[in-house]
Amino acid sequence: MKKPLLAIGISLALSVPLVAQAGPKEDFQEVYSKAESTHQDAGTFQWTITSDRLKSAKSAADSGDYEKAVAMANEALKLAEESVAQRKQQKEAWRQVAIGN
Amino acid sequence: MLKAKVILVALGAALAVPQALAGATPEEDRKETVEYFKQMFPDVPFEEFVNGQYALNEDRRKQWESMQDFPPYEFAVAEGQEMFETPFANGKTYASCFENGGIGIRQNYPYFDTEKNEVITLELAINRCREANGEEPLKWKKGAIASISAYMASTSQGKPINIKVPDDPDALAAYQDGKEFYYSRRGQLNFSCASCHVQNPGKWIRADFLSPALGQPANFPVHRSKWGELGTLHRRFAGCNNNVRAEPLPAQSEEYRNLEYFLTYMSNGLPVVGPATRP
Amino acid sequence: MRKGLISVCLTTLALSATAPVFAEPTQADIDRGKELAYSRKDGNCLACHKMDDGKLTGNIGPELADMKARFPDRELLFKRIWDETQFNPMTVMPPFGRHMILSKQEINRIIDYLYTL
Repeated sequence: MKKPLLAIGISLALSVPLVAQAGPKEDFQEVYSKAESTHQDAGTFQWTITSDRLKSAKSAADSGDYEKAVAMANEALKLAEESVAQRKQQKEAWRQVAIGN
Repeated sequence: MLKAKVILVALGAALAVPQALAGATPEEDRKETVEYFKQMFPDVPFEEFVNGQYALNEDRRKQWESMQDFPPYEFAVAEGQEMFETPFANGKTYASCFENGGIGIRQNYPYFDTEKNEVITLELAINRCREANGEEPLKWKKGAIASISAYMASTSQGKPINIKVPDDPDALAAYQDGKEFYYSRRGQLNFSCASCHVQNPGKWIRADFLSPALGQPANFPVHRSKWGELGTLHRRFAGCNNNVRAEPLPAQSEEYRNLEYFLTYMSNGLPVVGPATRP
Repeated sequence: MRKGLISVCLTTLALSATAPVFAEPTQADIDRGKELAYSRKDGNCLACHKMDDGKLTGNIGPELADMKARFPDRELLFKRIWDETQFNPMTVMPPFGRHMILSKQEINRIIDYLYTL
């Protein structure tokens, strides 16, 4: 799993100075709850990978690693947004290959 | 292969005017579906579609036929029969909950209950029967419920699937929900059920051979080598959702029941062959 | 080895840049691309495509061969791996970039590899 590691690395590098100013716990809470509610908005179109990232974010936060927690929550948010977009798009697009519309 | 592509192109052309076709009845859907698969696999007799990949692939069929002398689900069916016939604490049996004492009725499930306004699957009926008689419900995906369901299917072998969508807006809505679920792309990998089982049956996805939608529910509950045991149709739904990285829904959720309703309706007229084996 | 150092720096640059950087790929880039293409968790290209020395490949998609001749425009190939549904709405190919299955850098490594086929 080199991808998450890389993502952690990049976000570590990017987020350390910012997080230090804003308060890492509050930052995490904000992104995490936004990610979670977007994930809920996906309804029956939720992605397992989003759930995985949310879990990783939560456990990182529980162990005090807020940099990782924020990075994971941000990833979860982006994934959740794509799943919501998929849900909206499929509302009509499912007919594309449906037999006997 | 080439033929299938031609059909898909033709289908795409027909679908360019979905509005013209909107309002199709379940029976029109079913007839078009049968026609679609007949054109895709002109050499496969209609009844053979219940055998999924074994109807399409000679090597797989030979492996399968060699398993038929000692099918791996035999013990589970016997166990299911014993559970089916053993009275509950109140002295009644499963037979009291079903038409014809529960024998030879698999082909009528799932059905739409116009009073409760919901789809009733065989497994749901089994657990409701238990609860009505003061027993704890069984877990949905495997174990005892799969064994009982397998026994009930075994008493219905060869009977043509006979799913009805009554003239009722709620029943039609349940059917439409199931249809929409079947064709909607889900998960990070962006696959619908139809991506594999309508667009690409007969092809390989890595080392797995894709079966056609037509006939799929006829062989459930199914003993998969991968599972090493029997599982219900909803267990398989959850597995498919998971494969495309879509969060699976609970077994017997309204969505999965509606999906089963649509999918089984498409197989009307095909014989019940469950329980069966699959890789 | 100054040359080695430079190529390491270039790789790092390519990895951290947001826009695709079409530097001449190193053997390491190509190897990484193959690894990503074959891995089930990443590209999993073999699920649908026959290619190279891949075993038990699927046949849903076309064989991946002569890639440079068939896709001379690297940017176009990138876009099709990023989201093939933009080119063919009926395709079953996952939108690898749009759905974040692969990052831009990862798709670029896979293209480095595909161009050797």
